[in-house]
Formats: sequence, structure tokens, C-alpha cells
Amino acid sequence: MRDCAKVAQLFSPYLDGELAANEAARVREHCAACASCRAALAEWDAAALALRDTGPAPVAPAGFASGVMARIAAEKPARRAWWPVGWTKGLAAAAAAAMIFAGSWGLWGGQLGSRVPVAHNDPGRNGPAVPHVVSPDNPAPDNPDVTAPGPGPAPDSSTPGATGDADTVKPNGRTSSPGDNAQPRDTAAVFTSKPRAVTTTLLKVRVADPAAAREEALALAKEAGAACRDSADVLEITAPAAKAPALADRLAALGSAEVRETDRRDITADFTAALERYQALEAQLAGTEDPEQRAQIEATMASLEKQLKDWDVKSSLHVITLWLAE
Amino acid sequence: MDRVRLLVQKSQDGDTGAFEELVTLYQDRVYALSYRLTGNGADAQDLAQETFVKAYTGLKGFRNQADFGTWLHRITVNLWINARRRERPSVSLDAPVQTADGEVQRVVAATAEEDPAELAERAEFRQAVQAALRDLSREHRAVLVLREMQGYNYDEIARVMDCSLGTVKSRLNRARQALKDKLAHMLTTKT
Repeated sequence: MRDCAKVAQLFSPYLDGELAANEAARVREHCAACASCRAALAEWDAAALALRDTGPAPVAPAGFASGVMARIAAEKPARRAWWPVGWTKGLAAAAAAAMIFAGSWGLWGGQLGSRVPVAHNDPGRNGPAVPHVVSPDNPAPDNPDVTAPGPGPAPDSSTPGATGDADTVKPNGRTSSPGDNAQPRDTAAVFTSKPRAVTTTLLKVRVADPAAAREEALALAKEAGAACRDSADVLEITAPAAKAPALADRLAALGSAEVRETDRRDITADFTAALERYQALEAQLAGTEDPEQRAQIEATMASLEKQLKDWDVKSSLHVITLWLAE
Repeated sequence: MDRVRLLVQKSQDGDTGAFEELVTLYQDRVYALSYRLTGNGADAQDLAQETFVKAYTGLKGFRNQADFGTWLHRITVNLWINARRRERPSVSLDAPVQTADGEVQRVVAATAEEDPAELAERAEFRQAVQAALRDLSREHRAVLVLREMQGYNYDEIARVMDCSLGTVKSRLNRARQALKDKLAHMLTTKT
């Protein structure tokens, strides 16, 4: 009982992936043997997932920046009169488009999540080891479900960033051959152990002829296999992560690059923690017979799987928000 | 020197045009955090505007080696925690929201394999969690928003909330416990 209280103190950092490996193992082992702690952890987990599942980030209303500057001007009457009309509009749109992507954990679930359900293999970038995750260098010999990597095409070779020739890992830690996607509840979700980060770039380029530059930008994006979306005066270009830096260089060279800001948010720890929770739940599910409890565990697993897919897709892509200013 | 640092330096020298460019660059990030803290558009707009006005008047104190976005978020969270309580009715964070793509529902679209009944149940639970979140103290709400909605890690939260890593850990622990208790109370009352 005393151990329950101590373990409960670890729930919060456990969910955040902030525990040392031995402490995380202690939480898992305790919860595997203690039904009440298991239920309590599931409640914490469900609430955390519900908070993350908030959809697109809201953007500032039109005219926001002008309103701020008007208020500053009103409060400082001695300093007046400065910002050129028209300057604001394009950059506001550019920033808006960039921040929609960068500001929300949940965005991709509703957009690319369903379009690109399969994670990518990346045998050249195996990052820190993830417990129970099988990488090409660590093939989990004890797992009877392991199958050797097969030849054949990748599950979705059209997916940006897919390289498709190594083992992949499902949330439950099983490996599969690239063509093996027939498991009923896995819904084709497979993950590799690698560092993951969400990267965005905001690019403002001054050009002589914006219309012509826009056409050139679209051609360059198409060449790089990127998807484009018009948002007010800017182009939002979603490129495979590996190709994005070179594409950004070429887009910057369309004119004189005035702003080039790249934001990189490392989500490896979050991803690893969620994957570990998924795997612990998988083990728990196997030992649970009560239908109600099983339904609860499966619901949490479904939320976690969705979160993992979202993060995996986000980390394989790189959004470049391009504003072509005259 | 990168563009943001240059803009900050120019703004510190009194160039309001440069500061407006900073506002434009960061407005959506600040507004998104403000919206998640306040739970409604009108208060979010006030809080975000107040953040930039405060930033403008405090620019001299900003050291350019720090991250400007983190500094702005720190101002937002401080203003939010210290504000007197004069709250407008809060709307659910599940309500339609204005994004760059127009007004959209926050409910994330179902993927092909998801059961509509499960989705509805999840949406209902999410609403209950958000109602519980709105009922928390401002400090607890802020730390949960930073962690779960903004995706900040512990180091970043410590910088934004100007506290130690140990404080972040204990505050998150207490906030989650409080959220769970509120949620349990709400769900018990409902049934």
C-alpha cells in the first residue's frame, strides 16, 4: 500500500517520459500487479490524451497587429506614424499559416493523419533505444511474433519520406515485413525507433514579380514532391523533411530572402513515452478478461495510437511558409 | 544576426515598424496560448494584446540571447496568473474556432477505421476534461496548457513559468491530480 502512494507520485513524470528507465520500469511492474494503480494511471492517461486532442490552433483575428500598434501609439503619443500599410497583411498571413502548423499538437490528426497512416522506415537514423521497440540493430529474438523483413514494396511508397527497406515496429513492439498489414487492430500503424522533431520554416522573399515567382515556387515544390496550399498571400509548402532544406534554399534564391526562421521542436521523449504506455497497455490487455476493463484499455490504446500516428506524420514532413513580397 | 534578433534590437532602439513585424510574426503563437488559457476569443484577444503592449514597454529588459517567443509566452502566462478575476463566460474549447482555413469544428475528423460511437464518446469525455480544466486554479491550468496543449517540455515550462525543474514536476503532478479529482467529481455528479 505504501508502495502504491510512492508509485502514484511517479505517474505524472511517467506520462511525460521524464523518468529514468529503472523508475519507468518500476511503474510498469507495479501497475501490472496492482489493479487500483493500473486504473488510476489509465485515468491520468486518458485525461492527458483528451487535453492533447484539441485540433487546430486558433489564429489571431484579422487586424490584430494593427490593433496592438494603435494601442501602443495611443499610449505613447510622442511616437507616431510609422508602419507602412500593406506591409502587415502578407506577413500576418505568413505567420498565421506557419503557426497553425507549429502551434498545435493535434492538427495533423484531422488533416494528414488519415491521409498518411503509415510510419516510415529510417534505418540510417536509429536514435536512442526505446524499450521493447525493435530496430534493425535490435531484432527482439524472444518475441515469437517476429517475422523477418520481407522483400516487396513499402506499405506506402508514395508517402513523403518513406524509404521502406527495414523492419518496422508496431506500437505493440512486433516487427513486421513491409507487406504485413493485416492485423485487425493495428490499422497499419508501424513505428521505428528514431529521433523525431517537428520542423517549420517561415520564409519571406522579396521579388520583382510575385506572380512569376509564385509559378517558379510551385514548380520547385512540385519537383521536390511537396504539396502546396494557398493561404492569402502566401504559399504553404509541405515537403518531405529530407528535401525541405534544399527546397528552402532554392525558394530563398527566388529573390532577396528577408526572413528565414526555422523552428525545430524535438518530440522524441513524448513519442517514446507514449509508445511505452501503449506497450504497457497491450500487455495489460492480454491479462484482462473483464469486458468493461478491456473496452477502457482499448479506448486508451486507440487514443495513444492516434497520437503516435499524428506525431510520426508531423515529424516526417516539414512545412515551409513562403511569402513572396514585391 | 538572424532576422528576429535584428528586429528585437531595432525595436529596442525605438523602431516601431520593427516591433510591428515582431507582433505579426508571433501573434498567432501568443493568441493560441491566450485562447487555451482563457477559453474564449474575447479574453484571448485582450490577453494577447496586453502581452504585446507589455513586451513593448519591457523590451529594454529583454536579453537578445533568449528566445523571443518563449519570453512572450512568459509574459502571457504571468499576466494570466496575476490578472484579477473578471472572466467572461468561458466557451468550450470544443466549440468552433477561427483558423486560417476558416471556422472549423475542433472535433478531429474520423479516420476511416474509427467507429462514430467511439468518436462521440471521446468527444464527450474531452468536453468533460476541458470543463474540469476550466475549473482549476490558474497556475494549474497554465502548467497543463503549456505541457499538454503547447507541447512544451519541462525545461521550456520552467523558463516560461520562471521556476525550477523541481517546481515544474511538482506543479504538474498537483495539477493532474486536481484535474483527475474534478473530473471524477463531475462524472459522478452526472451519473
